[in-house]
Amino acid sequence: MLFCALCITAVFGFLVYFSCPLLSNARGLAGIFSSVWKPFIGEFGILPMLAGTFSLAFLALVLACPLAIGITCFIQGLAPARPANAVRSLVYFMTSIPTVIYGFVAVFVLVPIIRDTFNRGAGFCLMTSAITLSMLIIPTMVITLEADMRQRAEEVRLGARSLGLTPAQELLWILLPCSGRGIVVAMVLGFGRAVGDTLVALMVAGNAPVIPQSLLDSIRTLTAHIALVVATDSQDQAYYSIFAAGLLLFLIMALLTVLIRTIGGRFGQREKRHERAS
Amino acid sequence: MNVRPEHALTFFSWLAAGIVMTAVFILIGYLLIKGLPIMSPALFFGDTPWRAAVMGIEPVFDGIYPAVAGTFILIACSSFIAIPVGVFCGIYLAEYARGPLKNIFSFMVDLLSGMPSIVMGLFGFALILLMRRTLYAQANTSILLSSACIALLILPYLIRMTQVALESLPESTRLLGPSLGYTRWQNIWHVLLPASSTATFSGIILSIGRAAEDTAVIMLTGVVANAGIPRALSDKFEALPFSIFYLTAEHRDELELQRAFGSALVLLTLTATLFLISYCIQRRFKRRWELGE
Amino acid sequence: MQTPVISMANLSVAFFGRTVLNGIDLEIPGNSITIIIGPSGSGKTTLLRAVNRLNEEFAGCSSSGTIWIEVSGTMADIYADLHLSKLRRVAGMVFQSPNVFPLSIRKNLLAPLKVMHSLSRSQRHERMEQALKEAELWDEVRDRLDDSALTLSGGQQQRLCLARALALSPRILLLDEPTASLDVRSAAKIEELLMKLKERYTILAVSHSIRQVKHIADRAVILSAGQMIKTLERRELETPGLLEGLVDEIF
Repeated sequence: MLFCALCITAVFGFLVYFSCPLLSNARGLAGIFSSVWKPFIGEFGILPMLAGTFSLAFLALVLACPLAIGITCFIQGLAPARPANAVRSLVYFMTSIPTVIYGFVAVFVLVPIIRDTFNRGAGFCLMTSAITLSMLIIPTMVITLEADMRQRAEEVRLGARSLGLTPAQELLWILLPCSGRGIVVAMVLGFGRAVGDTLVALMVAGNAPVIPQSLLDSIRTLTAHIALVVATDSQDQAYYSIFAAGLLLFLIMALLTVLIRTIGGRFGQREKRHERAS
Repeated sequence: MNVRPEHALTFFSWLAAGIVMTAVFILIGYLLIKGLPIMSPALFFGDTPWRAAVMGIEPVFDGIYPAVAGTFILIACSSFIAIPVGVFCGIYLAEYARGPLKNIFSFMVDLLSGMPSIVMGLFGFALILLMRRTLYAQANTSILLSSACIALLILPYLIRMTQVALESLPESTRLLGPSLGYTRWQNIWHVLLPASSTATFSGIILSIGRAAEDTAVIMLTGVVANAGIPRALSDKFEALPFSIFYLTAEHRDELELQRAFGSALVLLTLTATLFLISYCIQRRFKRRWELGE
Repeated sequence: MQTPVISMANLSVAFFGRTVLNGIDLEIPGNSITIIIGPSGSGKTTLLRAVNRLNEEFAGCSSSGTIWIEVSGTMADIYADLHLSKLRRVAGMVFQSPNVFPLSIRKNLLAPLKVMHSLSRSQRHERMEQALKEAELWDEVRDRLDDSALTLSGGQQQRLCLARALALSPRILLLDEPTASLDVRSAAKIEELLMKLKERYTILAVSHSIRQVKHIADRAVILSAGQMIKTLERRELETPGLLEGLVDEIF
């Protein structure tokens, strides 16, 4: 256990240590948070990557969220048992499909479709990667949401049936309204996965280090940036910038983890209080 | 006709399920259609005779065998590191840790499991940079480093799976040991662990799947496009997910592209098999639970 | 005897082939309290759930026989003549332990009402207030309608469940040991309430308590191993020792 704690501390320590040279002086800091990435003329701004990461994760979430809720409802009573179980198994199976394969198929199937439909650019863009990424985060969201809903569904089912509500009515008017927290947790987790993903962004987003202006713009995420710089650049300054990127990712994820724990924790406490009251 | 909201919800949920199912079937179907016809010994071993290749006598140049072997070695090494640590941490969290300490540790585990894999890779990369500057100037990325970082990546899953498996044991099982006069550790070792072994085992299988599929970590810690089979732990290596990524971006001819499809299909088969094993274990386990045997 | 509100003919229910109820014939008059009493596993709850077809929500259920209930003056076959959701609104149910929805008090009542599309917003609120008053809960919750229903006490929750059923303007109330999970005072409150409600509704309940049967029932139906043993009218219930004697025999 101590080992585990040690590892976390070590990861954090390393990231800080290596990004220190850049972060410690004002010029370096300003340089990092500039919107220009041109390593050959000494500009190492990672702001475009930050923007890329957020716009991609946000867009993927926007696509995935309704689908995930729809699928959860499908599993949770709207479909007959057989299709529901089939879809549930499939969603679990989706978690075992390697990220690189999502990216791989997207490159050969989705990219040409997007390119031909919109007739602009190479098809490696924000929209393509967001669609692919949404497939990656849907299982995470569905599994979280379903676990949250299933238990409550057990409690509510007979009562709702005895009032003459159909499963669809029960879901719409009773289960979904009291699953707000579950939906938020699922969204945060999905967002986290989207931010942390490297391969989809690296393979299909185009990797242009500019702040995206449209859905068809090529973008570069923080994660892809790290991979690209390690693979190509060898100047010290470029290296520092990836540690800054890593540090940023670390902080974002830590923030999301804290967020989930607060939501979950407060929820747990309230449930407990209710139990005592009843 | 006025559309009732609950009908809209039903329609939408079928639509959502349909879209996602179609997407997955396209993905699998596409890989099968493109990948199955090229499945052949030549895909794996190129021009090298397969016996010689498997025995490691002759190197393979035009096949995906080194990548397959690399992936398996990577899985083996990282499991070797992560499974004991993960299971023991899980036991500790479930049975020993109490109060604020448990909270802090479980927060650490959450934090670790939320870490993007590229950050783990970056950590490994930084470790090498540090070693070069201080102790050992020849330090370089290798399969050992990759395994260690992958181990770190799958560690939180292992911990959680073990912990949950132990904590979801029924009270009666939990009290069995003490009722026989076992010590705490004897109870864990002889009663609780065997009773939760199926769930733990399926967790281990799932973690292995993660180790097999991750690309971002190894990209930064020692995988290369052409290394052959590693001879030592300090060697660079090839791995399936990286070959897929690399060949997608850099393929020069049709043959290399075919190799990418082959690798993708092999990798998907591998992770799907691992998933199915763990799924079957869980189902059997669940049914036994439900029947109360 | 007046015309019945619920009428069962040769009702049998089985789960996975195991008979739970066997050939029940029963007529239940309106505006009265009928209590089913019997040992555990005698099929009391199943009999109750046969009326609103709730047994069908459980796996392996098969039933035969017929049940009619009176809906606006005519006897309707619950399988043939009534839509399932209509049936369940006509026959409101309260369970053994309160099963409020984990929503606000207001939404607990409004959510089922929303499904009835003939009602306007203000009508829904009117119904809610009326139902809460009928369940004698209004004064206790009028200032906290947006609090979670889970913050209410057990007895209040049970009355909320009652109000939830009443809001759908039922004809029949099916009560499955409605006081079993409550303390003595809350139970007495509910019993008192039921005595008032029988003026307007037909009440069919399950109970464990001989005292409760003697106290509030207009008639008792004694059930043992899926068979109907006997029905006792109010007059017979007042005969000292009669009910106790019968119960001793079968328990």
